[in-house]
Amino acid sequence: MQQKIFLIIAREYLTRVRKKSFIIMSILGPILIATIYIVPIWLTQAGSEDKLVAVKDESGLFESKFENTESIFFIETSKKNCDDAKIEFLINDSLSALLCIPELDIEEPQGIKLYSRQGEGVSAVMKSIITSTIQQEIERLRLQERGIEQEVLDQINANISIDLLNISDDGEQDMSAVASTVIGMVGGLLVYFFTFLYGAQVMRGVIEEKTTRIVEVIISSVKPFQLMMGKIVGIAAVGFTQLMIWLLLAIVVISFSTLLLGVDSIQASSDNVMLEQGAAASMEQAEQLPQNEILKAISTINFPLIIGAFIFYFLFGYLMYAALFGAIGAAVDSETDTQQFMLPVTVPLIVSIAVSGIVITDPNGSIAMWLSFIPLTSPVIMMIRLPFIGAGWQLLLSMFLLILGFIAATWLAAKIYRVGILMYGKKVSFKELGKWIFYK
Amino acid sequence: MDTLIKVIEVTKKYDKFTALDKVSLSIPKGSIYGLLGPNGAGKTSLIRIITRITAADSGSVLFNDEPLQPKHTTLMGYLPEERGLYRKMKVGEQLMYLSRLKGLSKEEVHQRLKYWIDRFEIKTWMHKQVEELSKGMQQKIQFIATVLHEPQLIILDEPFSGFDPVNANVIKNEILRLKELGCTIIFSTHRMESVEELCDNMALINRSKKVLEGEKEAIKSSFSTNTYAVFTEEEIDTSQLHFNGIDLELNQSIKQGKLVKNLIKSNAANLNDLINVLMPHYQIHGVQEHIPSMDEIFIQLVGRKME
Repeated sequence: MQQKIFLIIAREYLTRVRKKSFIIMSILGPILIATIYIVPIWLTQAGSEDKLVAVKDESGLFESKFENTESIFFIETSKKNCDDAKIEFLINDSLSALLCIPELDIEEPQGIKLYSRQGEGVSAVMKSIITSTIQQEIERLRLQERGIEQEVLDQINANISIDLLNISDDGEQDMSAVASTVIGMVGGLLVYFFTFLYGAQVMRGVIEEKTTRIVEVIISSVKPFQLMMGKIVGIAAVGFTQLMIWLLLAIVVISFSTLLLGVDSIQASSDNVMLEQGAAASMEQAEQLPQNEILKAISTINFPLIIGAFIFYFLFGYLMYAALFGAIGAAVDSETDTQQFMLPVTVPLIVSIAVSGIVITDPNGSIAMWLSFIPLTSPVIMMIRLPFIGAGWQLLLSMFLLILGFIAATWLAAKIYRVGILMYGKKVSFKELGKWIFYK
Repeated sequence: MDTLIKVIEVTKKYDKFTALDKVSLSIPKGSIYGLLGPNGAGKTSLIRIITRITAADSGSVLFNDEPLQPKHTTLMGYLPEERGLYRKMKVGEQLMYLSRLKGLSKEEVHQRLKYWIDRFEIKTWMHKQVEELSKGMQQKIQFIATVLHEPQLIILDEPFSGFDPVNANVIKNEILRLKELGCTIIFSTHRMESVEELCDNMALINRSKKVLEGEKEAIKSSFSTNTYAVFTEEEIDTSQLHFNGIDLELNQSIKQGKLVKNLIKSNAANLNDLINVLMPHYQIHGVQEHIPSMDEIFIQLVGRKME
């Protein structure tokens, strides 16, 4: 008997893993992620080509103030004035842009122009570098004019970074709120997507067996419960395989692209943050966010705990929902009939995502706490909360309740499943489902 | 004859609906057993209890004199009425999967498939997806899946529905061969003429109750009506015929080509007496005892047609 459930698991697993759609998803998934990751870097580097910017500074205020970056180089043109520089710019294709600064009144700077070629434009990064350089210089000049010396300025200039600390019974713990949020949301969303994606696959699998009537042949060989659990476990293995492929491919692609583009990943992610904040965010700010600070924040996350908890919630959350989805599949005759039963099952999942903002802003609030105990919402909510609260009695209680929830859901589902798979041509109501649970 | 399956007072209810009401049957080993009855009589419910798909509310089932246990399911092969296979699975893999669920090893499946591949000429199908096959082909595959593990008991629910006459015959021959090998076969059907000739024993079920059970021949002779079919060139006029106290009554006459089939009810002690009465008056082309069909027996028992 034990051997038979492995046959079922193997079939469920192999038929899905060999499907074209699985292979396509496995390859496309990381490509999609990589695209989201790489394109901004690529954009910030403006096609990773070196850009030459000709500078004609008629005011003479900004001599050698523009600092070259990795891909943007400033050269001061030898032309007499801006008009000559424009002609040179039109002839010389190697120049990407021309910056013209006329005689300036530093109290009222006007008429600064950045020329680019039609169809090429100027990257947001280039614009923000130029703007902030000019702004900084003018501010410095204005301060000087008001009698404040650079030395004094340097003394005044406060470079502040705040260390984020969490106080718990174990003592103080460094932790970056940003890193916690990101890690929590990623974990929560992964649990959500996989539960939905693969739970629905269980449901479709059950409906397929029911509509093709093969279920009758199979349960003349094995118990309905074995068939149900075999399907659930087999599909879970498919999910894990997909996740592992994504992870591996993502690592390969990211390390490869990092090598290729010559950016280290931390630099890239800070660039990303900057871009998201809009072009207005200056390069200077990005530079001020010290790389080692981010590294430090990430290193404060308790990864063994997060990964361990992720596997636990991923697994049991999926198992619980998959059992319920399986029961829905057994209760209906076709996928179109699933609507009324889907609602109560999917609402807790959707609510979990909907309140994720509240949970992040107040990870110790009562909403966050209670929802992380209720088995139907805890897989997502606890993943979001965990980076903030860490291990403790709340985690243990939540895990314990989830296991109870899983057992209850499986028991319930098995009862409905057993009756449902042999019931054809009947629209079933909730009341009816209730009766099935008490059938002998 | 030994009994393979003994059903004792089995009752099954769904909510308020009674599917089976204290049904008892005994199915002899090595026989072809017809489980007959109209749609909704309870045949499928009974089969599901025998195959352990569902449990009876009360009563019991014995397999080889042992109460039904999980191990017995590997000794059964069940072909449900509504056929179906995994549509997106290759034929070979599907047969492998279903047979291994019945406890066969990979090698055994390969070994036994050889016979069926030759028999049904299906070598080229093995790597096709099930959905690429015609319905008749799928039925053949499912039949193989039902019997590949060489079960002691084969249960076929409406086995010939969906087969063309040629393929129905192929299946029929396989069933007879399996019987020769010692298998016990249960046919469940509401179209009795399709299985009547194959059955040794049968039971009639109507409205969740067993109406009749026994050997086919015994049942038929007990319903014998002393009716004979006489084939003549013209219709027999019984009012003109009186001889030695033998009464004749024409029930029905059916024109069959040049001849007329006269169904004559008679109290004659044997066929010779009847022929003696008729011979002087009519040119007789053939005579046979008219045996009622199961359909007729059913109508006689429950007063309505089976459908």
